[in-house]
Amino acid sequence: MKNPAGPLRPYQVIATVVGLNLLFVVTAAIAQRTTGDQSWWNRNDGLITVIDQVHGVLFMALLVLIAILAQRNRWKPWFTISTMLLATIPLVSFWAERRATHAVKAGSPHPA
Amino acid sequence: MNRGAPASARLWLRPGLVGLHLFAIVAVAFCVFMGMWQLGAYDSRQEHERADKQDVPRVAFAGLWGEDEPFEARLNHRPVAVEGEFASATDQVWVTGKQQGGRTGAWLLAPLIVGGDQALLVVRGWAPSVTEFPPVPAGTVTVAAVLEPGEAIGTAFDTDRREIGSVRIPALTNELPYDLYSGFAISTSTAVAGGLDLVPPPKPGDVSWTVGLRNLAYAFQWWVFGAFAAFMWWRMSTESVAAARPKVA
Repeated sequence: MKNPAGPLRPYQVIATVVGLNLLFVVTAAIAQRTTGDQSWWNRNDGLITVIDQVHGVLFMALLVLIAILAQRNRWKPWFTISTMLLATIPLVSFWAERRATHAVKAGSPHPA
Repeated sequence: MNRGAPASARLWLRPGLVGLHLFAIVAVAFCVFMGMWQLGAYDSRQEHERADKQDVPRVAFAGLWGEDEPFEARLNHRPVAVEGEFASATDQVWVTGKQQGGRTGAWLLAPLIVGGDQALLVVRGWAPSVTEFPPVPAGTVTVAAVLEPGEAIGTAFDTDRREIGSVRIPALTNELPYDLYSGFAISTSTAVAGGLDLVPPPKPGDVSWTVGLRNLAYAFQWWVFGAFAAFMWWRMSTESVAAARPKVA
């Protein structure tokens, strides 16, 4: 049996990066719509587009890591799905990472 | 599968799994829909860009471009109908060093007064060599033309010969007694060409596929997420069915 906690560290790192990146993406999206054409947010539209794409790709990596963790730790489907969905909500994503980490460390075969 | 289809079907249709099936259908449908929506946004951006560059109906110049407004991207290569009165023939200018049909000649540039002392510079046509200024059409005329941004710096204005090396608006503003628009127009009306050859307006470039690239990338990302949701559904269901099997047997 593969180590159930093996992918935990990469998951924590990616989840934190994606969570921070998400805060930027949401802030930028709001700022671009609420500020004028000459604001920093609208003058750097190209840069923000790149950061948005990086977020998308990292989020895909995060989903794969969650799927691996879920399989090795025999998570219930709803725990897995909620961990994935909560990663898309600003700030809540950090809490979801804590919850998943706790579940892996507790070693419970079926965390609620 | 050796346990028979009915038992297998029962395992697949347990209440907990049915919820997962429904969730998977909703998730995949949502991702496909969002992907289509983003692809639609990409298409409409491309459409707008294309419309901005060409294939747009000719519009009246008045109302499109206000006095003292800068030359914006939406005006570039825009076909317009300009109504105005030509300034006197002696206010015309030759723009030298203009190639046409493999020969180097000159553009005949004339100020068209569109109201007050506001004038739009109009390229009436091309001549193989600089001659006497042709007379200007009298009275109010409507000129079909394509708007272009002012040109980069060229040879300085020669007051005696009334020649300049490029349609450089800031330089011409100093030489003409009018308030000039910050771009010019290339006439496509033979009626005002004064017997010269018309100048073909530059062809607008093709619309790059990268316009609206963000939306295209989002569309693909949504579909990847949809495929991933389907994959996760398959793994979770098969695992769940496999785990439940011994209890039934």
